Amino acid sequence: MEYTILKEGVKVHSLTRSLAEYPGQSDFFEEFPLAGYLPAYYQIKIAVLNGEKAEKLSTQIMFDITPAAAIARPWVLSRPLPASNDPSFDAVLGIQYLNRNEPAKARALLESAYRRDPNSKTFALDFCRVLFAAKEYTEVKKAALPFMNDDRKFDFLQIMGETSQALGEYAEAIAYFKDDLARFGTNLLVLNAIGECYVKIGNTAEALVAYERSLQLNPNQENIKALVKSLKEKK
Amino acid sequence: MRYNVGVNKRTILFIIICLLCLSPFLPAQKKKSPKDLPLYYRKWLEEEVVYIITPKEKDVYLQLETDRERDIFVEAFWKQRDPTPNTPENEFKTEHYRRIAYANQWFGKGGPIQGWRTDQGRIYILLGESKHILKFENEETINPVVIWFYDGMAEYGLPNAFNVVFFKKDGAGGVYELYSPLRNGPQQLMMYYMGDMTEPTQAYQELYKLEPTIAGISLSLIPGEADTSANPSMMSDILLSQKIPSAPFVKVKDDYAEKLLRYKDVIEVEYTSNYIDSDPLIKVYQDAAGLSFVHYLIEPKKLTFYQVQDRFRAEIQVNGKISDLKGNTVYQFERTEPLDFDVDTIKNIQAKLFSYQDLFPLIPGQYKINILWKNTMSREFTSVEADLLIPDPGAFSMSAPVLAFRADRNSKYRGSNKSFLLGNIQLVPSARNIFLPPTRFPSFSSCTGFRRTSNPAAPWNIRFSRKASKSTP
Repeated sequence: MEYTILKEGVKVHSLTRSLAEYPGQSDFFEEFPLAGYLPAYYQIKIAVLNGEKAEKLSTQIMFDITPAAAIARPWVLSRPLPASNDPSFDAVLGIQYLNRNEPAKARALLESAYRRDPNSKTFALDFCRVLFAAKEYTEVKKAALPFMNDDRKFDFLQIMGETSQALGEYAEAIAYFKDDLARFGTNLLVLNAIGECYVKIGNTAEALVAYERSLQLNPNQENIKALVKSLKEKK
Repeated sequence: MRYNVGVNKRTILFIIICLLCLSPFLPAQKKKSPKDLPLYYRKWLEEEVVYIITPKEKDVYLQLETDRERDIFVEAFWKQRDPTPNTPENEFKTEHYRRIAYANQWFGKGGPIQGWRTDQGRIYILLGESKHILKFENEETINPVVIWFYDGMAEYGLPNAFNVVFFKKDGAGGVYELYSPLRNGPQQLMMYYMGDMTEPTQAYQELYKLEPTIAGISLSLIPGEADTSANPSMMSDILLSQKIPSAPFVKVKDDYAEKLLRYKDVIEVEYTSNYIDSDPLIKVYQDAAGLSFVHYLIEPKKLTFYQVQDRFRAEIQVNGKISDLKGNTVYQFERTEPLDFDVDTIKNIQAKLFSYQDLFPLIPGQYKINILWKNTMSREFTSVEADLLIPDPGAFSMSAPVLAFRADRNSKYRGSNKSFLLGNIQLVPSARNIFLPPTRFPSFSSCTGFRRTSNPAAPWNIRFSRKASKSTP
């Protein structure tokens, strides 16, 4: 590692240290005394040299030696997070892969978080999301089931409704969706899903109720308007 | 505080709202012409603040879409200039409108244009009352001349002392015009000058015989400027054409205008005029397991506390959004930090800067990061935007160094993750990289892809020399 401090492009200090002298594999920490440095703008360049002293990697940054008598130091607010092997990091990374449409990597990480802390509602819900995206509907239900017996169920109502719907269990889906509406209030997507389920089980009247409520929320849904029209004609 | 890894119902709703709201984070809005603005807002732009609005502020103002947005902008515009923001009166605004009123009352009288539009009105609005005034309005052979002398304005990028001269080209008639030694010259200050109009030296000598005081400022407006007895001062022309017009911009940090435009659809209305400047620092480091963490700090210029009986409270809310280069959201997080201090703690911290620091893991890739920092009690906000590159764990790369005020080599938090805790070393970084001798400053950099053993897959093998450190002072 070669450290070079420059003032207006002119070298004022340099330090070369063998990588073997650093305790870490990839972290390089040095302290530089500033005694004797005059107030000015400086640049520090840090380079990795190979055995022939050729530069292979480098980085640099400007710094300022101030003529001021003192510099205000900050008070710092910083919360520690768990160690890197904590399942919460798997969950964060899994969500990132899922958002980046890399389901296999997302699945592995979100499943890891869930398996390591199966009582975490958050991890279970994230895992259900990735399973649902992979159309593993039975697995969604398996992961969500332990949470459906207490207040934690509310966060699973929508995905359980969607999963039941995907499995063709329309009556069950409608029950989940209605619980969801009762808990969280009117929701366009849920109302339309209820409408679809009622259509599937042949309950046109209830389907129309759901779709019309949905249209009250957003009258600009042309597909729903067409559906309502067609259902009314069939009636 | 916890990571927002779960996607419950409210989170989904939040994401949907944010996707709807944040999607126009950056695209340039359609810029209007001033003539397309409602009259009230056009007058504000083209008359009331025409001399003091910065080009960036004007650009943003013309991109606003509604009168409500313009009202918020105007409020923010004055707030940024308020020398005492914690008092009800904005002294800058009061003085500015006083200057306009004065200009309209006293300049351009009897002329075709309002006082604020005249050269004298413009200079008065820009610079205010002069230190003293010399008037030569009834000379028989010299055109009417008024000299305004200013000093003590170096903080606005102006010379320590200078004159601004106005004259009437056509004798007693007409309005006063700004005099430039370079563009006008001493020859135009005399009524009956018959010499070479392109030769200022001869004219200067002639004027000197008539009125030495006026001759003294006819070639240079800046007292003590190096010899200008032969040629008109270029510096004086720069003073008139560049330095004085830009003097109102010197102390204005107009970044707030861009932030207002960027976040006007994302943050609540009551925040939008309360942008506070801040210094950010964002660095990416891999931990020993190869997991990349984004370490960031935000140092707002102020942190406002509200007193509730004997307690002092603030609440910090941070919303982060990481998008890929196509604009797709890859990760969002939210942090909330209530602060509740007693009077002794407040006394201890009130003179210090506040540094909010945090970190989060991120998968390899290239991203844009937007962090919105809010004090929910004072309704103030600041923000950070940056590009991020997270290298693949096996890639050879080197992080930008972080320079710090202090390093604790054996942090009690070692083993956990904490912002700027790198290995066992807890750094207290400097956001501005400003240091004071004779302290020591710690530097930390990190490389990825190194292996201590010879790696045939690597582009080169790292060989370790065993010689001692070599330091060249």
